[in-house]
Amino acid sequence: MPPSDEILEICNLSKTFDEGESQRIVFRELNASIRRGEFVVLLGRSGSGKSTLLNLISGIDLPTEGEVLIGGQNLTTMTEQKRTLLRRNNIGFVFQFYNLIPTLTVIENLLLPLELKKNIEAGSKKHALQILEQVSLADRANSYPDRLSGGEQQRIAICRALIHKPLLLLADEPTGNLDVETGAEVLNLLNHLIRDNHMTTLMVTHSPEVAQLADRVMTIRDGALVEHSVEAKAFP
Amino acid sequence: MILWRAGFRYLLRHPLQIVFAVIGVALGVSVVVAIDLANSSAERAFSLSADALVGRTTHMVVGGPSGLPEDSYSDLRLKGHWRNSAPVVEGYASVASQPGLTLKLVGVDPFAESLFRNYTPSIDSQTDISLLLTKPGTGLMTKETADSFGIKKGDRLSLTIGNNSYDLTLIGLLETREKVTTKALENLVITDISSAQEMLSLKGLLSRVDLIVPNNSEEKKILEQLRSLLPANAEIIPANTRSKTMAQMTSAFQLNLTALSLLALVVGMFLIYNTMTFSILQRRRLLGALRTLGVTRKEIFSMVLIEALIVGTIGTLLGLVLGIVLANGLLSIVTRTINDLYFVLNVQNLFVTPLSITKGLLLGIGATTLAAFVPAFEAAQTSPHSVLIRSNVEARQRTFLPWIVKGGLCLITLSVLGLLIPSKSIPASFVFMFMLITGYAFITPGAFVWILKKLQPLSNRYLGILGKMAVRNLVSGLSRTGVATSALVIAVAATVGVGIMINSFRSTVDSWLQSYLQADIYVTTSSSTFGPGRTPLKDDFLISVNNIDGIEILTKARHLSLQTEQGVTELFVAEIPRKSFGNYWFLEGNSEEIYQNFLSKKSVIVSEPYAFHNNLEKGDSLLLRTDQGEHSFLIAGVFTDYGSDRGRITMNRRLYNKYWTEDKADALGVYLDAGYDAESVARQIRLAAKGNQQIVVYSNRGLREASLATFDRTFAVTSVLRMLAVLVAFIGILNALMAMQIERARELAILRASGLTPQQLWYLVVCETGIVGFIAGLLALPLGILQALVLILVINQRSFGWSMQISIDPIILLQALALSFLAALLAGIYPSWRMARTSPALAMRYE
Repeated sequence: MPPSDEILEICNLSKTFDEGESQRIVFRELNASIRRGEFVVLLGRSGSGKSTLLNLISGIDLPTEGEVLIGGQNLTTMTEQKRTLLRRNNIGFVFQFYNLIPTLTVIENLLLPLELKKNIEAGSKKHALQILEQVSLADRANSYPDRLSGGEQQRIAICRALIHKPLLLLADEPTGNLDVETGAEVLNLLNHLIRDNHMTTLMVTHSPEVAQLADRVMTIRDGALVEHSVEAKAFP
Repeated sequence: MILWRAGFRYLLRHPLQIVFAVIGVALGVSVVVAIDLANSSAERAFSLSADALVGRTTHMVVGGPSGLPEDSYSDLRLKGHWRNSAPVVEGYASVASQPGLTLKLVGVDPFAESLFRNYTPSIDSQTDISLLLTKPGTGLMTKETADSFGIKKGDRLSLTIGNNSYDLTLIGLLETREKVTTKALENLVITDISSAQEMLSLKGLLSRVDLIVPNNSEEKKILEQLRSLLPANAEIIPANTRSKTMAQMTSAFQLNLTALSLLALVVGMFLIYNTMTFSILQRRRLLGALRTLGVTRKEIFSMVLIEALIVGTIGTLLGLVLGIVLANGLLSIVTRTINDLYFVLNVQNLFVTPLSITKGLLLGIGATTLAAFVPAFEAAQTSPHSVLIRSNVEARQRTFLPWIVKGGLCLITLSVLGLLIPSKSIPASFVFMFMLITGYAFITPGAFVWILKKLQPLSNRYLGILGKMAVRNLVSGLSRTGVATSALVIAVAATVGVGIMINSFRSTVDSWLQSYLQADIYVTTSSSTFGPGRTPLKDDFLISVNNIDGIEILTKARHLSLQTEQGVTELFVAEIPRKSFGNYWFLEGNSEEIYQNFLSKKSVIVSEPYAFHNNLEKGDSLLLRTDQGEHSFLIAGVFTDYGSDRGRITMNRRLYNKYWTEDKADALGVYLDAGYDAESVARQIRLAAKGNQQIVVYSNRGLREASLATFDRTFAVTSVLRMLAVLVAFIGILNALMAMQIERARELAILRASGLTPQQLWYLVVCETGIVGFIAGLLALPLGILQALVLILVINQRSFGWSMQISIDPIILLQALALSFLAALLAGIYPSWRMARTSPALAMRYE
């Protein structure tokens, strides 16, 4: 990846879904960029297109029009194989429903992204244990995900997303499935890890409280992207 | 590798599903391997035996139906100066101490033998070989054969040949240089040629003369010179002609067995497909999560395929072991059928060769790979979306359903068109039949949904709210239920198709026998087969029978083997009364007109298989080698005959006597005067034979029953295959439906948490599985009937040349429905029991 300040760029991005005989426009001609180390929150109501935008940015889906550039590479012109590899090597994902691999232990879940990136080496397991120590889950290293609580699973998911030092971290409602207290803990942890690692992050949420932690806040409203100042207390 | 562990541990967490899949593959592979081993053991035993007996022989001189005059041999040696010749007389004998065992008796000239075969005792051995010449009734056999009879050098063995008994004295043991030759000479006894001629009632005759003619530029000239010394009805054929012909005789039978066994493997493949598809459905979130982490489609594809290969390999290895065990049981059935229908064959041991094992391995693993290909491909298509969107699976299924149904209809249409193309290719027929099955599997989910929608009003009315839910669950979960139903349908249809085929064949043969067998009593000499090669009835016995009161008509028949340009053919020489002839089923023409031609003209009638295999029809000519040289005979008619799948030529006795010198009979048809009792006349016939002739006397009904018993033995293998297909179907149903319910554990747990009692849960699950089983059974019936039609109208026709009446016994259909429904109900028991015992909270946790 060439050293560039802009890790993520979206240019004139549009997405339309076919629904039977009609078409639903999710958003039209979005433009935005995220610089290295920025923590950006994307707010919006349920159904506004936040997750769809995340899918386009991660290469899971292709836009109807426009471009997505990650580290200067244009996703929209790549084959599915290349997009998958780009996602593998450069993106970390945190989901609302954790999506840990149920047939792998906690430590194996952490090591999987390293293996996929062919970065696994003798010291990787030790490194993974150290990360688990940071989140106070080292003693659960050999447990399977179904033995963990929601909060514990999400902490593991965050570690998994960061272990291979991705270029970009995407988080889709990471506290959406947690109670208030646990959600706050997880959010706090995530914020620390992001800041400590100077991680470029795009987080999608419908909670304005989460936005307070970000460097920048954007909203999708009526198919358009609007930027707000973090200092503004009342987000739409 | 961590990625592989992610997938492999899933298999370990669902042992029951995997065990069923392994069993399904194992059964399918075992059936194929067992049939292959039984067939190849029979073939190998025959070819070893034939090769050992042929030795260095390059050509053989064979004669007419009654044999070759022994003068032919002396003419070849003295007039033709051809020293590389050896006379052979061969036949079969039963051993008194071991009923059911047939010994091959070969008479040779010991002085001429050494050039041809290398298993006679060497000169400096302890055997006095001159005893073979000087003392009648002496013989040689291998040590293994002698041990099996419990005799040693100097002991006697009691033999029964045709109507007579003989004692054979063992004067020495055959010494063979290779183990293979020893095996090939099992149950063979070598005697001097005169002893053999006497024992086999072939005085003055030889079975053949073996020749060694060098394969060079002079070969043709030499053969022509030798031919000029032979009588008109003799010919010189290459040494391997007979064994080739005999191999051909059984090829269609063996091919059909192989194809039926492949049907069991196809059902096993559907089990693998079913299991892998379910495992993909259950792991959609896992696969989606892997895709979001950057696992490529190729990696997912490989992972799923390798999982399937592990299951398939375990199943295949198990299947190989089971197959060897099964083959030991099937071997006796297969060789019994060959003995009944074709020729005498003794096979004591199974030949398990690396080739058979390799074939079984490749087939099992290959079939697994094929079956897992589509699920692996589907898994690779899993979009990372699936972790984010829950409902797209079923929506996608419903979107693609019309296309899948259309694809299925196209496949069915193509297969039907393919089957209608006039052809004799049996492999092509099986390919099209498998296409038909696959096409039907594609349309099954669509048909399933349609029937469910029609059932909905009934379920609403009669099954209560839970029944209503059951039906709706089945419709909404099409991605699961569609696959399970297709697998069930294929499995159950296979049993229906084979069942209808066997039943149709049997009822056709029964009906034909009732029409064809018109005499009141049948008499024949003792023989292990109903075909040619029987000992003739003695003349004095025939005179005695002729003098018995109450006989209106006495017909004499002869069963012979004839060498024709089409190969070895059965010639049936008969005196057929007009009233019997009228009951023949001729394919075309008027039976009265055919009868007149049959009696008065130089014409024959041929059976349907004979006409089919040789591309002949009514009005064509047939060239036969007679004792007066080659003559052409007109085919007056083609008739239905289920007595032989190679077919036969029937000629009236007067015509036969005109062109052949032998005038013997080996069977009689006795038509009684009105008022005479068949049983008492039969007693008088037996009395006439007592002490003079060993005969078998059948009443009309007795012969019909004996014929049907032969038929039932012939289809014993097919019935075994059908039972195994039923077993595979049963396991398939259990596997598919159990997997379907276990996969819904979380959903059922939510219902339990919402207040459903364990009993209500039982009811719901059993309703669902019962409905699936019932509908699958219903859908299986048309496919089973279609398969039966293909087997009857195409495959049997092309294999054996027989046309058959179609008979669909409702019991077979009901049995299939019952199998499907019962297995489905049983499949609901375990998941219901499991869910009833499990805490809903535990079940609702993600895995």
